[in-house]
This record gives sequence, structure tokens and C-alpha cells, in this order.
Amino acid sequence: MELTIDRLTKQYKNKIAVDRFSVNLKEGIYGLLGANGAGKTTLMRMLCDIQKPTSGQIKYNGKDIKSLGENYREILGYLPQDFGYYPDFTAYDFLMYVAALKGLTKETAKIRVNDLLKTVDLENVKKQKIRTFSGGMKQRLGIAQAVLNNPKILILDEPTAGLDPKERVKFRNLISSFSRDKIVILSTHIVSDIEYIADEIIVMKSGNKLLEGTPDELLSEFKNKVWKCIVYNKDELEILSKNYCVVNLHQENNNTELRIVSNTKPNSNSVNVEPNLEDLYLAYFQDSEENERR
Amino acid sequence: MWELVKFELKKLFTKKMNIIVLIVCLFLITILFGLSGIDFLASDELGNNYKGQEAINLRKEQIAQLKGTLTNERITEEIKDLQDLRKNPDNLVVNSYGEEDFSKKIYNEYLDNRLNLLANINKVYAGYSSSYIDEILKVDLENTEDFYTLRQNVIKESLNQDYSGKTYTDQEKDYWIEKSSNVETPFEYDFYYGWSNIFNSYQMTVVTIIAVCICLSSIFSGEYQSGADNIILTSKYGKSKAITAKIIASIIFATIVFVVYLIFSVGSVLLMFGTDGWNLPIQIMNILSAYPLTFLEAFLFNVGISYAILLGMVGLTLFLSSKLKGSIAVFIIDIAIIMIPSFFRITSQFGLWNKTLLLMPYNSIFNNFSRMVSYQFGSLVIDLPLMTILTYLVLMFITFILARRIFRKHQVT
Repeated sequence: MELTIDRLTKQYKNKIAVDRFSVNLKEGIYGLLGANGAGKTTLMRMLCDIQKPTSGQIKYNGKDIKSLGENYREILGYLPQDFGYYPDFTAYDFLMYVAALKGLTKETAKIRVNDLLKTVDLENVKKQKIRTFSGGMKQRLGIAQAVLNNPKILILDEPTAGLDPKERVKFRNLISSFSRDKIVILSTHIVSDIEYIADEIIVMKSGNKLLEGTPDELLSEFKNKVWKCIVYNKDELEILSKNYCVVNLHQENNNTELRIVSNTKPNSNSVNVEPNLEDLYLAYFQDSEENERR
Repeated sequence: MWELVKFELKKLFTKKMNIIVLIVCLFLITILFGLSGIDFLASDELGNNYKGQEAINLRKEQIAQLKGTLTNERITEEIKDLQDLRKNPDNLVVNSYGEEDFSKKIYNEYLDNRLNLLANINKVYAGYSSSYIDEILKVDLENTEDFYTLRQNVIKESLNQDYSGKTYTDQEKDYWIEKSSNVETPFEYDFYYGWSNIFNSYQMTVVTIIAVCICLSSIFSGEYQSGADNIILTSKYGKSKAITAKIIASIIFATIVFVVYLIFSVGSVLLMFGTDGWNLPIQIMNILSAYPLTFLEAFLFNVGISYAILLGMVGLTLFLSSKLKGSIAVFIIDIAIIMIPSFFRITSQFGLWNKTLLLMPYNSIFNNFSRMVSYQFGSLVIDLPLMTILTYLVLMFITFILARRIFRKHQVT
């Protein structure tokens, strides 16, 4: 099974959302990491054939997904960022409706829906109207609808949005359990979502593919570039903050502990520490985050 | 497929807004139709006035005395009786216009329950211009022709008239003369007020169309607004059966609403007036109508017309809903199409503008079969009711195809 994205571009008037994006995906979990506005959602929509690319192609096992039509959608599961539901439907009815849309027979649908409601922990509320659900419950329902047809390609756009830390862990386990023999693409700007489950990470910035590789491969680039140091006065703190990529800052008594990504040793007491994905993310997206804050 | 249709219907019938709209409009249409019975007035020979069910019962008794076949002899007798009454000065007064008129006593004892019959007979002598009884007061009964030949001649005359430079074509004339000659004569006369009141209120069926349009305005646009389009369009049948299911569900929904509203609205009238007169020719209400129909046939014809208009408007609503992202915009355009043309005056049955206006929803939803409006395509002549049905069925098919195409190609943003 292979999903090939070939020089995919999406342009809206003066803005290029996705720029000649190419990648070859096989079975596994792919974490699509990028700041807000990096083009992740647009890319995912194009992968789902609900947004037309300006140029480029998406091929499933060598065939253009456009020409595959229904056959492609049959093996597709999608959880959009803003997942639309019907407030007056019960969770059970909603899943039965989606099952009908996905072409499951009524008998198969009943079994599958009940199983999934159990899996996503909504069995006790399956006869309740969705309008009464919390954000987390709705998101779990969204995940259930995405995997109803046991899709070969599962696309999840910011699936952990609105989930609390406990639910996040539950979600990660859920995705891992669904992912066998599938291509799972999971977009997020929350590093911890993919840190533990992604086989491969694709980093997107301004519509471009910035990096691609396994977490270890990506982190190896940051080997000996992440430092921990303690700063004792305000002036030094200011200088370091100005000249280095500070990914974390922790105040303790009168001292400040900094975590810095840098090719060189920032100060005399700096010591090398193991890099993590958050260091990588912040190193690449600090500008974007700052721009967004501004 | 039917599973999808079932869910689409569930969406439509469980949406709170739709439930409110359907209940309010059902109440409104029942009241609007029912008012014809609630406000019905009649007076007895002593001049006592009655309202509502009492008045209906009284009028039924009065008309029962007049029932029978309107033969030449009967019509001559009716005219003669009226002329005799007019000759007696004791029966006359001078009305507020300074003209001679029948006294209140004559109105109460003789004229009140006969007025519709006499005014209708009067049209044969006065043509399309009058609806009162002035002409039959002047008719020379010694030299009068066969009443039904006279009626056919009036229709022929109106077909040969010049209407500000516009005339009927030869094919149109032939069409209407043949149609009118198929009207069975002599006419039977009896109580028909239930049906005439349904006809008079039938334009209120527009409430049904408005209710359906409001409920269906979100059928596609609602998916865009809620973000459910993401889910639908990425599912196996999202770009095929799901759209067909929406179209089928819309037709079923509209049909259910139409039938229920019809039962309540028409039922409220028939419950008060009864079904009497269903087999009588519509000519006893409008003697110059060229349509050979009974009241029941004319009613069913109107039901067919309004149902076709409803389906056309369903198609248009679906098309707009697939094109626009907000259901309010869809609803506003629908209302504008339904209501705005009713504010323009239809000056005659000729000309593209008039003929188009006559086909607009509010104008065409009810046909009392009094006008001879026809549309000619080559040698083919189609009358207004049939043209209305054809127009809205074509509109429905075109808009369904367009809605399907637009939703299938919808780009999620």
C-alpha cells in the first residue's frame, strides 16, 4: 500500500498554502507537525479529495485518487479539525448514519457501531443527543466515525484539540490500536501527541516540507545542540534570550534555568542534554509562534 | 440508499427550527382556510343574521330549495321572476348611489340566497364585464336564444376580441372552443359553497411552500455551516447516493408536509361545509369557464398544480442550498421568488411579461379556471394549468441536477 503525494500545490489568490509538497507514504503512523497556518489542514483536505489542488497529484497504489473516486473514499477515514455533527442525533444514530454513508450494511453497521462505542467509551451515553456531549466526548465520537469503515488510510486533523491530558493519552492508545496495516496521518502542533506514536514525522512550514524522518533521525540532527544552563542575573538572561533559541525557561529562587538550542555552547555552565521533539519544534517554529502571538 | 433517506428525513424532522416552523405554519394555514367557515354569514327571510356553522346550515337549507337542473325553462323562469319583482314599485328603493334597487325585504325573502345563481346567469348576457344582475333585468324573454348556445357564443366572442392589439391565434381559438364545447350541459345546481370556499382560500397553500422551503433551506448549506460536509464528502457514498438520498428525502418531506397541510386546511373547510357539490360542474360558480370539470376534478387539478409548484420550489431550494453557505440567504431568495411577482399587476392574458407573471408561484398556485390563458409552441397549445405543471416539473429536474452537481464538486474551506 502506497500513497504518493507528488509536487502538490494549493494557491489561494496571493497565498500559497501548500507548495510543491512531495512525500511517499507506506503503512505506519505519520505525524504532520507544523504551526497554525503551516498548510497542514489544506494538505489533508486535498488528501481527502475535498479540496482541489492547484497542481500536483495524489496517487494511491499508482492511481490518481480522482479517478478512483468511490473506491478511494471507501478506504478512507477522516476526522476533520472542525468535525460537524447533528446536535439532535444520538451518538448511536450519528454513527449509524455515517456507517450508511460509508456503505456498511445495516447488520455490519450495528455490530461495528456498538463495538466502537465501547472502544471510545461512549457506550453508556449512546442514546444521548450529541448536543449534551462535552468537547472530549464529541472528539471521541469523531474518532469513532473516522474508523467505522476500518479504513486503510486514516487522516486525523488536530485530533486532540479540546481533549484534556488524560483523554490525550487515551486517544494516543486508541490510534495505536487502530493503526495496524494502515497509513495514519495525524496533524498536530502539539508535539506530545506524536512523540510516542508516530513512526515518522513530517515537519511543515509555510506550505513546504521542512523535514521528514523517524523521530530518532530528526533528533539526531539536534544531538549536542541542546543545552541546559543556569543564569544568575537578569542581564545575562536578557543577552542569552536575545542571542539564542531558548526553548524553555524555569525560574528557581533567584536563578533561572534555561534550555537552549544552539550549535555552540551558550555560556560556561551550559551542559549538553538529550534533545526531544519539543526542542526541534520550538527551534523551527519559534518565529511563527512569535509572529502569531504578535 | 433507503437507510440514508431515513436519516435525511430524521435530520429534517428532528431539527428544532423545522418543528417550530411546521407547527406554526400548520396552525396558520388551518386558520386561514377555516376562517371561510368561521366567518361565513347568511340571513333568513326575516333578515336575522347568522354566522359560522349556523349560517352554513341555513344556507344549505335555502339552496336545497333551488337545487335542480338549469334548463332553459328554469333559467327563463328565474329571470322572469326577477323581472316581475322589479316591475312592482313596492319592491324598490333608491339606494345610496341614487339608483333604483330592490328593497331589503326582497333581498331577505328572495334575492339573498339566489344572488350567486342570478349573477352567474347574468354573465351570459353581460359577458365577462359584469358579475351583478343588471343585464338579466333587461333581457327580452320573448326573443331569447338557447341559454347554452348563448354561453358558448360569449366565449367565442371573447376569443375573437382585440385586446389592445393582442388577439388569440386561430389554434388557440380552436383549442378553447373545443374545450368549452366539452362542458356538459345543462348544469345541475345545488349547494357547492364548501368547494367555492376552498377555491377562494386555496392561494393560502403558499404557506405550505414557504414552510417546506424554510425547512429545506439548510439541506446542503447546513452541512457546509456545521462542517458535516467534511464527513459526508469523504465517505464512500458522499458524492453519489448521499446526494440522491437528500433529494429523495426532500421530496418525501415536502409530500408529507403537503398532504398533512392539505388534510388540515381543506379538511377544516369540508368539515364545516360538507362535501356537497363535489360532482357539480364548476360552471355553476363561473358560468363562462371553458374547462369541463366538476368541483372535485377542479380541486384535484389545483392540488396537482400546487404540488408541481411545490416540487419546483423544492428543486430551486436545493439548488440554492447547494450553492450558498447560509440557509437564511436561501430562504430570503425563495420568499422573494414566491412573493415579489404577486406585487406586479397582470394586465391581460397576453404578452411574455404577463404570461411569465402568471406562471410565478403565488400567481399560479391557484387556478379558478375562469381565464383562457394559453401558451403556444408551434401548433401546440397548452393551457395555463398544464403549462404551470410542466414548468415546475422541468424546473425541478434541472435544479435537482444542478444541486447534485454543485454539492458533488463542493470544495471544503
